[in-house]
Amino acid sequence: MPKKYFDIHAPVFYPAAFIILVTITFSFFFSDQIRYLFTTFQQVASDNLGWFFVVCTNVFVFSALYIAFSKYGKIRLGGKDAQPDFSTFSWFSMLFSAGIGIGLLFYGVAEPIYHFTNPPLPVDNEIQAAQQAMLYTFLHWGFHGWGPYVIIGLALGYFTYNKKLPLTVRSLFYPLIGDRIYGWIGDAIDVLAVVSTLFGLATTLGIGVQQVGAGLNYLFGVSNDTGTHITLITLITLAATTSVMLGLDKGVRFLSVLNMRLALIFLVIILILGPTVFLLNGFFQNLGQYLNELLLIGTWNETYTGGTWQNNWTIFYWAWWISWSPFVGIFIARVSKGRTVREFILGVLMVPSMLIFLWMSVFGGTAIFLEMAGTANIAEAVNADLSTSLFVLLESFPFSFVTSLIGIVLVTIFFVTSSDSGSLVVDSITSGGKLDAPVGQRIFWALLEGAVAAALLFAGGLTALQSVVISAGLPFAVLLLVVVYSLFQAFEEESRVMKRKAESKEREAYARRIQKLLNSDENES
Amino acid sequence: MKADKLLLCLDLSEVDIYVVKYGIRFIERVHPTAEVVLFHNIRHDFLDEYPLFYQEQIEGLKAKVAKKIDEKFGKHFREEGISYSVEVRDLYSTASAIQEALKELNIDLLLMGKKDRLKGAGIIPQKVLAGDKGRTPLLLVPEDLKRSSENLLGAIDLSPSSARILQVTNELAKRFHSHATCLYVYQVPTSYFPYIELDNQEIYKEMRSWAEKKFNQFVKGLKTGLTAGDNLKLVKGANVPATILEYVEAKKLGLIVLNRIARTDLFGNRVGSVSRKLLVTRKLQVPILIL
Repeated sequence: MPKKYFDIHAPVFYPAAFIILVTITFSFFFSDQIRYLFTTFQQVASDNLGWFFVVCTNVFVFSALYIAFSKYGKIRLGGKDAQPDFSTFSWFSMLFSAGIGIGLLFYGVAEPIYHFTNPPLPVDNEIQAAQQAMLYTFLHWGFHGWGPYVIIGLALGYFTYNKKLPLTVRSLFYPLIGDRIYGWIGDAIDVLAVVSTLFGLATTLGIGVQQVGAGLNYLFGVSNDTGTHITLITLITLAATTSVMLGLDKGVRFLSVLNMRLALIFLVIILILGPTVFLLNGFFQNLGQYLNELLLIGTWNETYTGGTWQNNWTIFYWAWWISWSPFVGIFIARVSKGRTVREFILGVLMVPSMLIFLWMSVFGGTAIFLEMAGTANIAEAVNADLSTSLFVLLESFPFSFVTSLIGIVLVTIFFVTSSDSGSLVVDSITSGGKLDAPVGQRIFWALLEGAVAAALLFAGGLTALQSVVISAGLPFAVLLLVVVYSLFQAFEEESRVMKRKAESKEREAYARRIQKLLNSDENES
Repeated sequence: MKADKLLLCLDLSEVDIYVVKYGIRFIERVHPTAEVVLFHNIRHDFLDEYPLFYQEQIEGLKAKVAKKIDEKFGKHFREEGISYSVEVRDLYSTASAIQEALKELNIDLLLMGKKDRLKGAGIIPQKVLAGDKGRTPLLLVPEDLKRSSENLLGAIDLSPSSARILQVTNELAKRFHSHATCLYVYQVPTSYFPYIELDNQEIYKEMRSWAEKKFNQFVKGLKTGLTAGDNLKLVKGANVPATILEYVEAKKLGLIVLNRIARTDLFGNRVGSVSRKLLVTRKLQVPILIL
């Protein structure tokens, strides 16, 4: 009989909840200490292990491409007779939606313009600065960023649909440790996945609420401070949990689709209102530049410049994507049943990336254009507060009030849908892979997500968010490397099984023929 | 074409009877005194898992299979007065067993069945051709064999190796008392400006003129009765194997003759792209003789 309020897998639920609650408590009551702890950890990790994150992301991308173009590419998620659940167009749309979110709205303007004014490498002129800005933006949001999602999404899809294992992270280690995934090792893996996902989500929510705060300040003069942010988190989290309580999941899903369409309309509006030809030129040029220099910038480690730019940007991003990977991975796995491994990898790597490149080219390109033309001083605003960048950009266009309002609505709805989906994913992991766990649990995790975001903002704002994501991302990166190895083991075994099956059919057919011959009458022919 | 000794490969499927019956028809017309070896390779490694065969010693099994082959197919040869023997081997690889037999038994012509739908060793003809250094001609008999005319088609590309196709096609046509068509499938070179698609007639005339010249050079040396006017046909087609099959279907021809390769490629590949595609196509309804 299903449990009414809580149906948990205790060895995962309690440790994960404990870690999160401790973090929240310390953040509120020992903010200075927690801030120091996270900042020190971030510094140490970035300074000494930045190379490790770079290696990891390259391993994920190149492993994925190798698998895609190898014999394993023909393996189908769900078995050889599985049919895709969605048409190719719908599938692409869902992959797009995985790529659009709060981060894109927050960093779409902020990052290119920041790099334009603070380029990672020395430049001689504005043109070089602009090219570098887009190049490094594309690096952070392109194939390397999607590498962790591909690996974990592929692994989750394969082990869930082909091997019928639970849809949790522990299942990915079955080829290596077998049934021990059901023991304490599996529990520890899931705890790490939950903590990592929650911190990644909290970072996103925290960034989102900062942007909403900046928007409200711009439009209505509401003060943009920590108090406002915490209030916003509280209200929006309550809205998200209320929708869950009232069984309004379908409503949230509708909002999610609507939001994606709104985001795409937003993109088109800016493309049309902005310097359209410049933006379209820029998109293709930026893409060409990115593909041309992919290997160089993908492996760049700031070795000879000795700066800390990479710590603040690239390493943070890699850790952020890695900590988000269970969340995004579960989503893309769930919509990709029936796809071949090759389709999955190439689709997940290329499709969302292309949209993001276009987004960055439009929003970032517009900001750079205005800055170069001297029309708007977006750089100054960005250097002061990243979260204001979108609204400062929109000020340069007609109907800025309306477009800013759209921006705020978009971020808010993304907050709600991310919180809702995030709590579903975390809930699924902490209930042992169930997708129909009681509502009470989902509410618990939704509230906890908001509370972590609030606590970290209180403890140290964006810096604290970045620090915690690196803290969670580092151990999970190690786990992901093991997942890569586990995937290769599993695919090699699958390949061997397929070959054995084909041989077995041939053997059976031959044995039947010999038997038939030996039993035949001499008059048969 | 020498056909003193033929190897008929049987895989014990339903296609075997087609191979036997077509083989007999071929022998009667081409070389009635030919000797036939009915060949089968037992994959006893395939049988190890089956309890029925656990107790069988391989020599005993070979003898039983040979006896059954003789019972089942020998009568067809006896009725026609064709000399035959049965050879059963047990090598780990059927293709290798066939290649060994070709060499040891001095085989002049190999006959095999070509399966589309039936389960079996459809890949074997390709493997045999690829590994056969002696270049024994292979006559492939499809499971869907339709009784067409005895008229033949020799697929040529007007390279030096086409001479052999002309010779064999002509020889077989005489033996079959039928007509030989030598088909050349051409494609307009895209760089052959200004001869573009719209100029079909003009390009055809150019191609025809060139093809006839080459054809006449070949037949002159061979002393065949073939003439360009009567025997040479040109058809335009981007996909050579498909064009050949369409032509055969349209003209209701009974046998295709082609070379395994026009020239050896860089990797020493012994099966050219056209013959390889015809080996694997599902649309084959007439036998093909690969020289």
